[in-house]
Amino acid sequence: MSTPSGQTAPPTGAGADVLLQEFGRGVGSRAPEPDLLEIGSDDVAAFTDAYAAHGWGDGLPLVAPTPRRVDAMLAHTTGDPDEVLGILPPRFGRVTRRLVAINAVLAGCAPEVMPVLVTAARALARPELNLRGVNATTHPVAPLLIVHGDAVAEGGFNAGIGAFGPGNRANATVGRAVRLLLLHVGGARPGDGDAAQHGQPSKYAYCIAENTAASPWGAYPRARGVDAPSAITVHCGENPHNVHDMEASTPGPILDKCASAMATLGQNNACIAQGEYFVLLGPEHAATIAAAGWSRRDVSLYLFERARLPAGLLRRHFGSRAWMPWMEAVPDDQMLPMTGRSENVRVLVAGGPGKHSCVVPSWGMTTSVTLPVEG
Amino acid sequence: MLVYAPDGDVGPEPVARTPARPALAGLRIGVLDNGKPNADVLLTRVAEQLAARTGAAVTLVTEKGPGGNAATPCTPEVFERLTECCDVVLTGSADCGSCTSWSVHDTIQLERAGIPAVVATTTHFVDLTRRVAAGFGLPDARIVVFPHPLGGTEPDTIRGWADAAVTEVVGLLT
Repeated sequence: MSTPSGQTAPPTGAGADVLLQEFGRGVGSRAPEPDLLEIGSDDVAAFTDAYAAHGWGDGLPLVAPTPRRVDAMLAHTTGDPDEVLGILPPRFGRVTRRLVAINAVLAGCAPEVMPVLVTAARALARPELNLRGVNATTHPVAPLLIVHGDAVAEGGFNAGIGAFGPGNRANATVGRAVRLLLLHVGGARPGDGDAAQHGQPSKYAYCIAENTAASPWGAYPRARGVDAPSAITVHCGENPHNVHDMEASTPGPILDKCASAMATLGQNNACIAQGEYFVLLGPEHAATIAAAGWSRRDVSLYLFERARLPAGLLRRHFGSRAWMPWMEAVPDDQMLPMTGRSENVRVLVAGGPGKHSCVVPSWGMTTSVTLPVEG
Repeated sequence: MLVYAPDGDVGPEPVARTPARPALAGLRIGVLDNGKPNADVLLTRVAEQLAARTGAAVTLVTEKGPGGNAATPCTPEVFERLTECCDVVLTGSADCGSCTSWSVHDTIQLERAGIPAVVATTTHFVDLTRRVAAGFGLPDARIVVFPHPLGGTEPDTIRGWADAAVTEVVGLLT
């Protein structure tokens, strides 16, 4: 499968060949244009009901994807509208720019966000993201889309106050369009293709922008080897866990609270232990940490060191463990990290003024993807 | 008003199920344990009872390989061993979302390689197992259904469930 420059490493480990074969099948070939249907009325409620009768939609009112509206979306992309960008399991839907455009219309997107959405579709199809597991699991995991660079202003995304919502059209509708792609093309319908027991609110929409202007460490994608004017990251995780520290003037107390949010027994990382954490520092917490001379890497190392639980406690709770082999050798009274390596603690800046940060734990058996934006 | 359908074309090609074996006597049984709680107890017991009852032999009991777990496919090395050392394989347990998806995947890969494979699921996940199998191109996958849940149930009870299912598994494989 093709590998755009400067992105995450190709998959390795268990079943990498199988994954590449499965997810790469037909990429770059041409899919037929999606079917056109006759719908009686363009009234929003009537259209939404008519669509729902086919099993389509997310429960919210939908904008009818007429050819005129879809073409307006496609005008903001380059390349063949029906080129297969990737395969989205469990339905094995072949996602194309036109299908991205159709779902963008349904979600209420502005056309300017199309390059971000097309790139997100490519990211969702990457084998290391393990969308088959992400969509199928009983865990509530949802893909978090993070927008970086020039695309933030071009698409009108919110990186500041209330980035997770509500109130911003780009964050809300692009997040929603990602979910509609998963529902329609990926077949991740609750019950049929998504066994998440409770679901989670972020399965409706889960999209923010990185607050690069407030980041003391520059743009996150550069730390991942992606040096492009615009980029996106997709991380499949839980809802954000809040971290509150109003008082600290040094990094330790802020990051110890982040570590506390990371080191909980209920997360998959407790028994699977190789997943990532996305630590989204508020600008003020980030400034306090950077003022003490800490780099982004220092934050990751500190959190890897501090987000730990006793090996014996973890063993008592989990007879069935997917740990790295060395972890099994650690004595019961010693502390074990919540993730396999410090690089799995991903640090970036988001949100507005105030003294909160948040942690987004991974589902576990998935690796985040950062890609340059290409429409 | 004309509108587009939002789902588009699908990629999977239909998979032909491997024909059942004429008999199990003398054949080699493999177990692909995905590491879910009690999957090893259940599958190993079914395999042992299957062997005892039919004159087959349990030749390989394996997990998914280094770095592998319930939410990944088995490693190519494990897959190769299964296809080399076994004539029929038991996989599972398919008793959650992602483990169902990947156990069915392993099962289908084995069927593609000419090895009849039975996936063990539970009453709560049998519908998902059937839908996933159909979605992946093998609607007539060999599925054996156990009570739910496997995790948290006493191993002796699990072994009892295994014993009760042996006749059904023989029927799926022959």
